Amino acid sequence: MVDIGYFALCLSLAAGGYATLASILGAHRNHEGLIRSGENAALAVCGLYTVSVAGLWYAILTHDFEVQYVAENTNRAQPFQYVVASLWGGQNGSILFWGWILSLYTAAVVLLNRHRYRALMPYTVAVLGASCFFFALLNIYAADPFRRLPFTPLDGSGLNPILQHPYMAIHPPMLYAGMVGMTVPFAFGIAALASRRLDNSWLYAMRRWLLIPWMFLGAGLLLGGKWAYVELGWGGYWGWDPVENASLMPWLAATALLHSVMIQERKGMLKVWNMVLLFFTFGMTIFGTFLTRSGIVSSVHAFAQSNVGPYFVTFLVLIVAGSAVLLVTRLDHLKAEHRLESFASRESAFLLNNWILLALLFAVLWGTLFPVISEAFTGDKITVGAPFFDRVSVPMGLVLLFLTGAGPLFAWRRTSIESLRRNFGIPGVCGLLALGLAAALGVRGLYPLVSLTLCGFVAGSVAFEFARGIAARQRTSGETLLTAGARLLAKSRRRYGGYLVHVSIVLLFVGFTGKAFTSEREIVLEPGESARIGEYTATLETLAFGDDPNRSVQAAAVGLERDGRFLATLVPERHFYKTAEQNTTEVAIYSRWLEDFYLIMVGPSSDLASAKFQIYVNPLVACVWLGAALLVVSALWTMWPSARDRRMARLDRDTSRTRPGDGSRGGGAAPAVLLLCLAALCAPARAAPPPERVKATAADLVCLCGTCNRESLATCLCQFAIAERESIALRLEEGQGPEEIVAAYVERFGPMGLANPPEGYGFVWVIPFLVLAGGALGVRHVLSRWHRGGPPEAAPPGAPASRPSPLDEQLRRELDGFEG
Amino acid sequence: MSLLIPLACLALLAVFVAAVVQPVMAAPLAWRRQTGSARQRLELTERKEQLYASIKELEFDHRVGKISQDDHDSLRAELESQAVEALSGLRRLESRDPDRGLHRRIEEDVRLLAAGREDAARPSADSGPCPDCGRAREPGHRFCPDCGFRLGDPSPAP
Repeated sequence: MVDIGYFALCLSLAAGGYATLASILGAHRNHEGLIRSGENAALAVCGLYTVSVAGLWYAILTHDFEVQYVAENTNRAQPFQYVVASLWGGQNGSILFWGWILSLYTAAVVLLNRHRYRALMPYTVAVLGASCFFFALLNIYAADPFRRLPFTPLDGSGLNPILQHPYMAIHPPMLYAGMVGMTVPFAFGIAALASRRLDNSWLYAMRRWLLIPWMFLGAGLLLGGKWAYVELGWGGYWGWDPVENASLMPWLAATALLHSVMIQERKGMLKVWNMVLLFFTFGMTIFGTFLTRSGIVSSVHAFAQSNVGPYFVTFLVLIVAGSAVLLVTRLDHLKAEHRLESFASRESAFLLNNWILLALLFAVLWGTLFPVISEAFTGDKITVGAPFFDRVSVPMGLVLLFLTGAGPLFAWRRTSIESLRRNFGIPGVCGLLALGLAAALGVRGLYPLVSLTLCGFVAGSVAFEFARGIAARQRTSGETLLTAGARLLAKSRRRYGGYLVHVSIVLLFVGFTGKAFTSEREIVLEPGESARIGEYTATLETLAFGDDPNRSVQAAAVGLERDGRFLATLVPERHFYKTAEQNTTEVAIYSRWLEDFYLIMVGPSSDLASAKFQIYVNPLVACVWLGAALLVVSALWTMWPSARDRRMARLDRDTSRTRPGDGSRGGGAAPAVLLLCLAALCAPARAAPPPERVKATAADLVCLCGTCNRESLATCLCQFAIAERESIALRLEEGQGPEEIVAAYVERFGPMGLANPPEGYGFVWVIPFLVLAGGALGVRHVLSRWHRGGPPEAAPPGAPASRPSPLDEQLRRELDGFEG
Repeated sequence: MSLLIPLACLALLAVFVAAVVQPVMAAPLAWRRQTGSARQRLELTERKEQLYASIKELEFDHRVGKISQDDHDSLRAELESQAVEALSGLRRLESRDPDRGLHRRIEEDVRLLAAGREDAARPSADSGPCPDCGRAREPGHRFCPDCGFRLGDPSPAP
């Protein structure tokens, strides 16, 4: 099977290359046979990749340790589900898996468009085929998953222990589906440029293909957050890890694109910009993959690294150069059709949304790349940690949240002062109500209050939009409130599904705001002993130890009470994986709507008579997961085929008579802004009891034990970090200042140990805001150019009222009965 | 087992080559016959449906006050004229569809033959409605006044 898998991989390389050449040649010569041949080759790539993946899976499941990948990433003791997941647990396998997903997308695009978008399809297939070619090439020459060892080991080293978690089985495939899926809209964009079919039809063709990976990326990011929350024991769900950032960046770019294509559809503006944004989104996925797989920045995801860097750089350069040349040669076809009349308009709101999303993207990019940049210029790798990202992203995120609510309230072209007042009234009142409520509940601090006010404002704006839509339906059709609401959601999926996404953003921000009120403590308990944490009482009932061939386990049973009422028995664990010689923590969480009680076992004492625990009380975390679920559901709702999609699919079936097709007219979302990343919405100053001072000092440093890669010294649970924290506590007791302690740490380990840039690097914080300001000037420039230039709002060509022809009558008739 | 692997590889190769070569070998004519007008109809219908959806969306925006009357009117007129274009394309396609045209002619001939008027089965070039849009034809016109369809030279007056 392994040989067949390898052969299939080699053949898929040939098939990918052939698909590209045949499609381009076919399009050039208008030779339908060649075009079809290219499409069949693209389908063959999918089949061959499937055989190849099956080959590797077979080797993994039969424990064929002669195959290097199998020996390095699985072992006999591993549970079955993680053996299956080993396919994407290591570098080479994950690249194969990546290529397989790409080939599945390619096959879906070909099968769904056998008769549709014929002018675009050859080039689309060519781009997809070329991408498949690239990944097959990568697999064969740089990351061969089928390479055999000269001997057969008795057992393998096993999947990285931290990956042995149920969320891990779905989180990577989701992210891959998101990252890879961006190739499809990119391919449609290139096809539109190459074929010069630059009317709106390519937008319709690619809209849903953009929404699908967008949803997968969002879901993958949030699942990754959930995994980090329950598995890594940070006490949080977002750590600004380079790999998280690498998938966040294309998501931000795609979010911007989802919004700005709406201007192009409606008004024929921003054509060049949308193309650039599309290329940028795709480029970001490749760049992100390069960033994390080449190992140039260290991350918790260090398990997937090898020497694939140069391949990605070459691919990226080819993409950038190729798309830039295509774009420049087609600029004539991309002229704006309308001009801007007023700055208070939907068009400007969309532009502002693009501006802030991209500024945020730049901030994330800057922070992620800073170690590389600083090393290039100063020779020292200076890391910027969560404090940098929080400080930069919180204000930008809040502006974004405001725009999420304000954008839909603007009308196209121009909004009068009076209608602005009318539209902003109710949402504004909702915002003030939220502010009052938050203040009454004891929320303090500028950022949390602003955030909650804006959440109220956005919720109010969505409710107002729904109310307006329902009222409009009721006026014309006389439906009841409920029917009108349901029909509104069902008929205008794209718009109202998008508003539902806005609601999910509100939930996420409420959750992020809760992060500001997290409290944490470290306690040592003997069996039978209790400790009070806020309103909770935790009692250590017993300690237990277990052992199996895969790992040894230390567990504690902790009884949790609140106000004298028993809530649950929590069982936090620590696992030691024998083959990998690595510790992992299994967090125990008691979750309620308002807060989570989050219990980590740091470890038992050396005489096993007591154990140390770390406890976080995290308010409002449930909102994050609820928001994530709503995000996925509403994105699915938005892209679900409408009546028209089903009609077109029927017609496509009738045309081919052999192959079932599905409507692929995108139902793109108006989803706003998921700022997944505002993990720590802000950190209000708290009184600092001694353990807090230890944490505060340690927060400026990163753990350098060599295995946990850049985790904050304040939260890392490895023995190195625990010992360092104890030494910090001692030094503080001795009266040393935090600066002294930090300096001593840096002296021992070098500037790599700093979580934040040292003195003299103040510009690090400033640059993202400078870019933000520069972007604002850019937006202003674009708006005023739109205002001055562009063709005037011309009189409608051939006003039909003056010429009622049979065709016009047919149009009226069909429009009346039209169901979208 | 050792023989099975090369055989399986050969089978994969054969399937791939067959999938790729078959469409090229199939005569281009066959593709055209199978898909030509049906595909154009699909394309035009898709375009029409998209435009209808855009018009409906615009209408809804107008109803909820998201777009001013002027803007609505001008954008709508633009979309409608594009929709009319697609509609007229569809009609033209319908009238040119060889199968349908032939059927219609045969049916007409049979009907006329049954009525015993063989001569009348050859319609004069100067009568009947426009084959494109169905508008009654006015004497002496070479193009349909409605859709611009070329009707042919009017026959000389008897």
